[in-house]
Amino acid sequence: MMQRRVWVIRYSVAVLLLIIAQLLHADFPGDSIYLLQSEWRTQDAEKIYLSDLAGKKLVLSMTYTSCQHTCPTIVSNMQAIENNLPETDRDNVRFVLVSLMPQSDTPEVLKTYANKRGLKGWTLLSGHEDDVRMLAMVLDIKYKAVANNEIAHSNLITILDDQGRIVRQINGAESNPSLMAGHLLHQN
Amino acid sequence: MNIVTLGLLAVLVAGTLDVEMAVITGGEYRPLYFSKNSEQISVSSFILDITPVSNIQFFEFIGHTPVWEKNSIPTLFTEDTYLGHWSQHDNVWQPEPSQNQEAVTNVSWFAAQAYCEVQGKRLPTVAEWEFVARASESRPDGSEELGYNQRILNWYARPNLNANIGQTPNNYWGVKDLHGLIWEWTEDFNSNLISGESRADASIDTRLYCAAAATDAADPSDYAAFMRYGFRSSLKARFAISNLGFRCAGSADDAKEGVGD
Repeated sequence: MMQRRVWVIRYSVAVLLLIIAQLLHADFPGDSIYLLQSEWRTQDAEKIYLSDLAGKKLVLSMTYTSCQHTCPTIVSNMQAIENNLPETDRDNVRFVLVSLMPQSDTPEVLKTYANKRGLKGWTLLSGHEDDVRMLAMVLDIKYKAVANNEIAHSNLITILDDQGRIVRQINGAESNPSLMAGHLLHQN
Repeated sequence: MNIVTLGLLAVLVAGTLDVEMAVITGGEYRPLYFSKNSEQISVSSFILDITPVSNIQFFEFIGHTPVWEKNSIPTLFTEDTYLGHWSQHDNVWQPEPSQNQEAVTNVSWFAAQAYCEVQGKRLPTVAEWEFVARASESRPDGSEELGYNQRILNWYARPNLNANIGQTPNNYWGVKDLHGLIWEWTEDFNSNLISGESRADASIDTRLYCAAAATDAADPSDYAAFMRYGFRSSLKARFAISNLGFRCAGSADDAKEGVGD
C-alpha cells in the first residue's frame, strides 16, 4: 500500500512538471535543445536554466577541466573560432563548455579554469549527472568513465542557432575548424 | 507462479503501469566484450522489471502523459518511426488488440527514460543489463554452461518480435525475455565508444574520441556480447527501431520499502 501511494505521488509530480514544461516552452521549435528543462550552475555559481542561453547562437562542447587528451585542443579550436569572428558578431555568439565531470568541476574549479585559459565572456556549466547525460543524448555525444579518473568522450564542437537547433557538428580535434565554423555563423 | 500471474493480472486490470520486479544481488563480473585482462566491473544490488514494457502498458502511460503521443512528441526526442507499428483509430494512435501483450518497440531512449522516470524508476545501465543477461536458467554466469552462448546466437539469427512478453523461461534471477524477443535500451548506451562494425575494429579511434589509446579494447571472442556492443554503439537516443524496446530498473532500497506493506 505504501509503495503504491509513493508511486502515485511521484507520478502526479512528474505529470505536473511535464505540463508546466510544455506551457513554459511552447515557444521553442520541436527540435530545440531548450525543450530540456535542466538547471545548471555557471562558473560564477549563478543558477540558470538551459533555455536562458536562447537568443544567441552557441558554440558548445562537453569536456572537463582536468582532461589532458583532446580537450585542450577542442578549447583552443573554439577560441580560434572566436578570434575569427568579426567584432560585430561576437555579441551574437555564446561560447559554452559543459562539464562531463560535474562532481569535481564545481563553479570554483570552472572559474579557475576559465581564468587560466583566458575564456572571457564564456559560459562554463556544471549540472546534475542526469542532466549532463540528457544533454549528451540530444547532442549525440558519447562518453564513458575510464581508468585514472578520466572520461573518454566524443571530440565534438556543436554549433546551434539562437533557438537551440543544431546547425552543425564538427570534429573539435581537427586542426582548422575555425574557418568552417566562421562561415556557418554568418549564414543566418 | 499462479500468484505471480494473478498479481500481474490484477495490476493490469487496475490500469496502472506497475509490474513485478526481481531483486538482483550485486556482484563483480568481467564484461564479456572486454579482454580477459580488463578489470572487473562491480554492480550494486538493484531491482529489474521481470518483463519488457508491453504495448498496452506504454499506451496507458501515454494516456497520462500526452506529450509522448505520436502526434505531440517533439522531434528533438524521436523520429518519424516512433510507435510506427501502432494504428490510428479516431485520431488516437494505439496498438491493435493482438499487439497489447507484445513488447513495445519503436520507442526512443527519451520516451523509454520518461516512462521509467514517471514511476520513480530508471533504465538499467549497460553493466546492470549485461550482469543479468549473462545468467542462464540455473546459474548467474551462463557462459560456464555448455551451449548457452549458442542458444543466444540462434535467437539473434531468428528474432521473435511478435511473441507476447513473459513466455520465455525465468533466468537465474527470475527475469524473462532478455534474449529471445527484442533488444533493449540501457541508460548509458552512449558509453559504447567502439563501433564494433567489424571484428578488426576493436580499439578506440582517438580521432573521434578524447581518450587514451588503450581505452576499451574489445574482445570479440564472445560474439553475442560483441554484437550487443556493436548494436548499442550504432544507436542515437532519438532512434525508434522496430526491434528495440526497454524495461525499467530501480535501486534495491525501493524493494526494501515495499517489504511488509
